[in-house]
Amino acid sequence: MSRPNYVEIVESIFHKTKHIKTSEFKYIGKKVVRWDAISKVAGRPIFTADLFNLVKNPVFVYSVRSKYAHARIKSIDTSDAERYPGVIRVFTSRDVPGINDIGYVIPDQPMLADRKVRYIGDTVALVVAESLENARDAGELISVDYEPLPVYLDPLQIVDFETLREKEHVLIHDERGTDILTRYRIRVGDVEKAFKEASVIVENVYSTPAQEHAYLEPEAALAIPEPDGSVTIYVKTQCPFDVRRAVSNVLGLPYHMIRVIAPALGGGFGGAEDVGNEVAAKSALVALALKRPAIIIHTREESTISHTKRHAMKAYYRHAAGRDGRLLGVEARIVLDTGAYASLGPFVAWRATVHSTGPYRVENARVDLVNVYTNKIPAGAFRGFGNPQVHFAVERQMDLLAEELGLDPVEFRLKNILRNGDRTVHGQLLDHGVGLEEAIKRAVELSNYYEKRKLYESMDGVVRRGIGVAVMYHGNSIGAEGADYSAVSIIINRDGSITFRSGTTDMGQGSIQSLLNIAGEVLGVPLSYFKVELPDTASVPDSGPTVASRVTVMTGNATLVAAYKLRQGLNALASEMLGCRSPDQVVIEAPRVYCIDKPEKYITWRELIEQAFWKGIPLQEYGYFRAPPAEWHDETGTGQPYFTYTFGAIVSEVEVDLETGITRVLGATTVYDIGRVINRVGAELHAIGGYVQGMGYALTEDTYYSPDGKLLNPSFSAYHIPTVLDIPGKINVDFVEAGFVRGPFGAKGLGEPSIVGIAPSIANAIAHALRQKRAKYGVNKIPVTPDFLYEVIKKYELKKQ
Amino acid sequence: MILIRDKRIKPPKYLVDILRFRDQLSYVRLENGYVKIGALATPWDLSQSILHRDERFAGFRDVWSKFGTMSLRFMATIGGNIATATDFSDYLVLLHVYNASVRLRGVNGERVVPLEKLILERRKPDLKPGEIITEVLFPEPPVGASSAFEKFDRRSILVAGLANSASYIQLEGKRIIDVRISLDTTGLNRIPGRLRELEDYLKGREFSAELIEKAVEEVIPRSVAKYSDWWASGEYRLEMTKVSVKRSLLKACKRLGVV
Amino acid sequence: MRGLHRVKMRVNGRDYELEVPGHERLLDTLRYRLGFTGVKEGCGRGECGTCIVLVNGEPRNSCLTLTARLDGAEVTTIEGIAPPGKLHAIQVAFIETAGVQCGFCTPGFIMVAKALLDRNIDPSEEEIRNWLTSVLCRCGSYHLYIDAVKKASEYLKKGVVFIDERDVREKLHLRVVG
Repeated sequence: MSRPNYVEIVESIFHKTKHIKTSEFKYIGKKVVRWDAISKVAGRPIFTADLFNLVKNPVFVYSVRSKYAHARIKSIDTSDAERYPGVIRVFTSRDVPGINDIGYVIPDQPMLADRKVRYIGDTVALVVAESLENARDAGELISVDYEPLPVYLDPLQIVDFETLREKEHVLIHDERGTDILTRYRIRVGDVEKAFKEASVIVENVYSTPAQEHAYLEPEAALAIPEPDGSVTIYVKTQCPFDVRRAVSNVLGLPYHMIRVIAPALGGGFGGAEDVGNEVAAKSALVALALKRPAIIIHTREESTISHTKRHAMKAYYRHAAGRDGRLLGVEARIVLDTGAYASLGPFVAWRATVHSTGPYRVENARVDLVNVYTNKIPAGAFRGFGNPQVHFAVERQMDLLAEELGLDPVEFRLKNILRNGDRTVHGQLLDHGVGLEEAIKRAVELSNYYEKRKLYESMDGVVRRGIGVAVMYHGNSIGAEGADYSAVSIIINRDGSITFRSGTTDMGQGSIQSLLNIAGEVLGVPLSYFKVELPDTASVPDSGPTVASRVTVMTGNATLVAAYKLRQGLNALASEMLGCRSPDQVVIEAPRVYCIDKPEKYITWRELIEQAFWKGIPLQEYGYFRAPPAEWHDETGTGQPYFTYTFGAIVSEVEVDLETGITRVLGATTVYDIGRVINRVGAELHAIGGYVQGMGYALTEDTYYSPDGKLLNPSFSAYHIPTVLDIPGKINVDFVEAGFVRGPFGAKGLGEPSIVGIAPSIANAIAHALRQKRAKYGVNKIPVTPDFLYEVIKKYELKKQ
Repeated sequence: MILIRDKRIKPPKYLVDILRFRDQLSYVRLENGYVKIGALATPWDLSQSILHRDERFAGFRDVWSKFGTMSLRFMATIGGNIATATDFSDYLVLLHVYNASVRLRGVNGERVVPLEKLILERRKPDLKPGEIITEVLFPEPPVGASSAFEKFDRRSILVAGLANSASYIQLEGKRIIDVRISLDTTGLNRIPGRLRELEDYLKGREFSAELIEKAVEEVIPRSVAKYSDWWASGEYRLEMTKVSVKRSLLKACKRLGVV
Repeated sequence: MRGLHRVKMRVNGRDYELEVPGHERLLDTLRYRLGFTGVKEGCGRGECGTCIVLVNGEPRNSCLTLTARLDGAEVTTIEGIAPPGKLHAIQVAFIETAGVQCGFCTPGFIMVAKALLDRNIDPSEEEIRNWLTSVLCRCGSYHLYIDAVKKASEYLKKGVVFIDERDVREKLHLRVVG
């Protein structure tokens, strides 16, 4: 197959610009005030719930949720609720016209429970009333006859940790015949031999929590029935095109009868991926049935129990190393807890498997991963997507190995990390763009690592300090999970202003700003010429989902292609108008356009556009980019899972109070190789914001259930995300720009990578502060809560030393 | 109100808004050897008063710095904090070590009740129908006395606290003339209370860090019971109670220039 | 709780006479009765701080405040922090320090910053942090927001309070600042 034109464009711009320093660009890598900053400080952006004001005669939809975590439904009696004042109608599974399923990857999740409920949060009925209050009150009157079944809250009740075989139990998904969602494996080299030859072997068991996204905007949806039988849905979602698919399924309507608009988003972090489908489908069902606008809004508690969490993990790891400090082999058994439904579980499990040996040269590996159902809130997408879990385990192992070998953790890593020319464990050749070594060196320097490591070891008393390092890598975009494409359209209006359309959502991460920086750089126009359109399935191209750190690379490439095509047309015309020697001699520095050798003789941007309009030069371009198909062999876990990887090194400094077990983060340094910095503000905010979120994951955030499966901490006072008083004084941020041939100007993604290495760097710092070797093995669980750490401190009598 | 909305407690028949009296009831004054605080004084009001300027009341600064969040410090009231009557009522914990009482006013007149008698059980102060708390009062502490409050948890703020404690101490040289200690909960009833056994142990002795260490180790395990829940085990809470009391005592002493 | 209450209040410089049920939250009055949707609801329990407004100059979690109680009160939301056509120096400082991400918590932070700077034009970093405890930010912009309050303090100390929005737009919107 010949290479598509868009690949040529992206690669040629990479080669043309790879020697240019980032500081020499106009917009690439610059600090630009983001497109929505002024409206945001003025409180003006319209988030979904802000639209409710503007709607006349709406109905309110309340989801009545299961009171049992696992039960058969014998019958549902809605008659009392229907008689309640203000109630218009009650919907149950019988009222779904299409397919009653909102499963994201596999159809395992009824929108309205029919035969069974599988967690406390399953919707059994929708009560629709004239006010939300009435709908809620009437919801109490829905009477469901349940036959309770055993509740499983621990994945190790479903699967044996040694053999990973399914245990005898009452199936949660009896229709599937198994509660094992997916299995993945890696089989590379000769692991037995590696362990036989090893001088040092380190093994341990690790666990990580089901982290809650805790985005501040709870879910909301507004569905408006249209006169032609179609429906328009405003909904909090990261992925409007996925919402359309889900709604189409539930309503039995073709895609073009469903219009999805994603207003401003108050955070997503992956959590707004599939719950958007659910609230959109519920509201659309009601709106079309009752021919009135239908509103859904979640309280914080409803939000917490209705959207997915990060998969909790339990893993056994065993590593072998030679006396020279070289990694010889790794063996791992990993159990992920996907909760009641699959959500994105199969993909999360795959990503976890791919990354399960860390950014190291590993020639012998045996990894088995299993993702199982339990009766907890479903786990799905969360920034990092399976990768923070395995990196926690791997990076703790690396520190333990270094300790056993008597090497500094940094030195040990430098002996084993991936560099240009190496192959990943999957056999993928990394022929360029691996900036990990440089990232480590800079992080070490910026953090003053060696000096502090020594200093902290000499400190006495009940409050000790530690400094720890972790490295990471993260495959960009969706890899072998599915069709990996993106698209945008750029429209230059006749007055020279520019309309920018993409299906990419800005949930706060600012990736649309990256796209503008790219378009502005290529076209040569000030960024203020651009207006960003909201994602609207009726008018923007399908950019693919806003997930997987893919926007800057994938949608960035599509933007680059669209802008490049426009620029080619304009260059040719301008060259003609100005009499330049060739079109590539044209400089656009809007409002001025001139030949490179005659800057004093210029035409204006507006004149050029007007002329293009009359001459029929295209002023609207569609840009498309498709990643090369990924390759994955299920039997061996080898292939080319992702087209590129982001690398990073993180250093954290902590203070551990041996009397209480409380850990405070004092300082942090993050250095990421993101190929090329496109949007500096966004990149820095990711480095910092990812760190803060990772701190919560490392130290304070966990979800707790009662024995019957009720979430115990669905509020901000009981679910501890970091506050302004918990953050370290300063987070040093730096970037390595190793370049990537198929990224826009060489760029790679940073959205998810920014959380992957945080928890292990903090845990490693804590272990360093504990100092005693055996105690360090005890730091094998996150969050490292005070009570957990206190147990370790007590067990190894660290206070007395 | 949140509890009413979330249907966790029965809605009352009448809900009377007493915040209209905020102007009259938000004072802090020293009067006839008593410190008097209007029931509707907010933590912010306290922060603007002598309570935050005089070392004899230093514990008030500690409570303030750990109380809710800054904006909530403009909304909460000292009377409300007491009437809520739970182990999370930080001011209640502190006021115990000042031997505080509350003035109650109802249709049948007025009465003054010591805090320890006021709280019957969790969320249940001894308020008669038609009665409201109008004032909190306690004897003005002598010079040479100070107090401290300790609260810590997984994160810094917007937390319940693993084991909250308050200490009041009066020294003569290094001799402990008077000492009062209170906890968010001394038993499984989860209401704040005094730790008299520990107070008696310390009274009259010469202050030293070792003494405090020894005292908490010896007395707390036998005089305090802590509950277990999903957040932390009773055993850990008990350990933290020792740390909390030790630290609040040391902090109070440090404020007196000892340590 | 039952029955309607007559409430006269001044919101963002304009007088309103409302009849509200006793249990109506100020948050709902502002958002759904008066259309000030810059006031956000993140938790409804006084924990996240995205609903903070100023009531008689004090920061208030509007989700915990009953409108019926506010007869005679003066309320300021993010929409009323500067006169029409202007931005407050605090807002400009928040733009310049570029910490805004999803923007859901931003109005809350700005209102708290205003309450602080109204009381102390030159706060210490510790004071700033203490005041900013009022609001949670999940995007993790705290560091930048602390810087923004410091920067706002600089503006205010120089006597710069309001800035023409047109000028701000001209100078900052999608502009390279570093």
